[in-house]
Amino acid sequence: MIELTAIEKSYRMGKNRLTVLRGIDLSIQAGEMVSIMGSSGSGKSTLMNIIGILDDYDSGAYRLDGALIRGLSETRAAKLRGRYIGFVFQSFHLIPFKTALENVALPLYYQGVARRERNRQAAHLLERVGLSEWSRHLPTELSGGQKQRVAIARALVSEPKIILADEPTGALDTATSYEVMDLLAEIHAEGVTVVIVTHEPDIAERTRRIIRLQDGVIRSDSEVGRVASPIHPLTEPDGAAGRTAAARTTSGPA
Amino acid sequence: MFDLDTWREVFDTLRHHKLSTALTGFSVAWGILMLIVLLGSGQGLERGIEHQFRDDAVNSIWITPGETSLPHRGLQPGREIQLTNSDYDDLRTTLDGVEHITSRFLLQGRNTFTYRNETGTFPIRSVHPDHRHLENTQVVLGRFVNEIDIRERRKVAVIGRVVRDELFGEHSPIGEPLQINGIVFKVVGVFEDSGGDSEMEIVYLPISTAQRTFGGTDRIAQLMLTTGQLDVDTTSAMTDEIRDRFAERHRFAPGDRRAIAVDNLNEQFQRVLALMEGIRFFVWIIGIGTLLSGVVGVSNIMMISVQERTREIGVRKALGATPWNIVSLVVQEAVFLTAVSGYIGLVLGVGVLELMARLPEAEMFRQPGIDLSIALYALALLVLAGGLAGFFPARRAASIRPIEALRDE
Repeated sequence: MIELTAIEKSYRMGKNRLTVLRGIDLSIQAGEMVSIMGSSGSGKSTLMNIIGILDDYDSGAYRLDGALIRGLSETRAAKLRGRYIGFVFQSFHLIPFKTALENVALPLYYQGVARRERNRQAAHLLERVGLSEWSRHLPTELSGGQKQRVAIARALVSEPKIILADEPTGALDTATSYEVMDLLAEIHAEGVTVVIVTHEPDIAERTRRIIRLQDGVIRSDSEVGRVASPIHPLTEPDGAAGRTAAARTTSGPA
Repeated sequence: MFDLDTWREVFDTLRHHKLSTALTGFSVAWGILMLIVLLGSGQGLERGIEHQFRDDAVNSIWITPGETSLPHRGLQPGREIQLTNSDYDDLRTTLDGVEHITSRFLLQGRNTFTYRNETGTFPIRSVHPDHRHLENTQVVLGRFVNEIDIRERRKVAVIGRVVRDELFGEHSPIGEPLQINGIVFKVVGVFEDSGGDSEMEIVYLPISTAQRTFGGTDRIAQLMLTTGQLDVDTTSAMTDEIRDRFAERHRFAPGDRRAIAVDNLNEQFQRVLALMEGIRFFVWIIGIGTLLSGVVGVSNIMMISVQERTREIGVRKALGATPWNIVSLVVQEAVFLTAVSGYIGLVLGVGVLELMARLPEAEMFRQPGIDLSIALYALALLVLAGGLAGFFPARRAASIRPIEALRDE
């Protein structure tokens, strides 16, 4: 689904160039649930923006569902985003003067879906995230967790292939964070590819695969519950190795 | 682009950005209102000035004798100048550029008019046939004084509509005997005059008849002539020529302005035309200024409103809005807003002019009004400006990559 080869990206900061991504090779299959981790400045947000066709890259190649994404016009990018990708943001980014239902229905408006049909689908999704009773409320009347669930419903309404969530739990307390993660896991179970950018290990643990970024390169890429395959010797995820070792000992002859 | 859904979205956003909607709407409505009141007032002023000139031919020269104020060739100042028929004959036969010429002999005191049992008092003007060209006299019944009347000194009278109404009522006055100070005249015509009722209670007599009948011998009180299509410079030259001739004939100093007044209405009219032109120019300058400040106001507000909405625009783009979606949304908002509020301003402005028109009429200010097409052009200009004012910031906002718009502070 997502194929990144030798992606490089730098920003101009005054006279200097700040290189953010230094050659990313990454492949995410359809139906995976992946988290991208890294400290701030590791390049994880930039990587996410490139995957979401919100930003362009300098060199390398990015294929989304087999199509090369490179130097697209804004219009074309908008069309692809609308068709493939649903976004979930840390600060929700709901449109403040639209009700929950209108917010959820908005992506369908840009796809030219008729109003009645838009509202039907939006209502259906709000029901699914458990907010039917709140559909006529404005975002300011909702709690953080409710806002994020509205945002997730909005990301899902256009039936995207991929959900890109940028720190989806960053503004939520632990209990609410787990609820949101449960919701994302449900979506994943239905076959949607889910990519989550986070810096919280317990959130990353709830995905199936963790990609760790540091200084613009991938330091490790591991499946949760298995030995991390260190790409670089500097990062040694001890806990994961220990757990895998433990698993191996229990799988002795029955 | 103009489907119902888009309009719902436009209304929705306008309704939720109340402050900028109100501000933009107000500045547009106000601009159009001021423009219309201004242009309408300008027109009122112009019509007032035109009204001042409605009565007399504007291409005329009026010669009125006075008293000398300078000694000349041994003659003392303070001498009254008396014009006679020979002055009339001289100008008529030898002055170049004369189109119509008439003299006037006025009868002093009250003149009593009697028809059967009806009696009234009206002013008399005894004139030449050309007089009707100078006073915009319209003969509505019968005829005006003619050359044969002058030559044969016929006792005929042309009466104003007011005189007809008072003395004759519903009767036709033509051919009827009318006693003037006891002398019987025959009514040959009825006239109307755009100068109003006071001009229509006059009775015109042939000058030769009046001079003989009422003891005027060959004296005349005033000379008037028109100059046709001649330009101002030529008529000014004629004015000088007339003054010189009269100075020679009546022996006063050529520079003595009090001895005789030679008023060139053409010059005066040109001066007023220039003034009107100036007023019109001034009104347009202010009008364009008003319109421009409206345009700037709209641009400013649209720019700020788009800037405030950068994040919203970013979200819309992340959700699949194309730059065109964004630009057309903002432009339609701007166009809709300026059109509606401009229309409100237009209606209010016309209302204000309507109120001004109901004020008691002043001499110099009459019937303010506005050319609706000008008002509509102004409105179209503002709507266009509003659209452009929305277009440029919206295009810039739409070209910002969503990540920049969505970046958390």
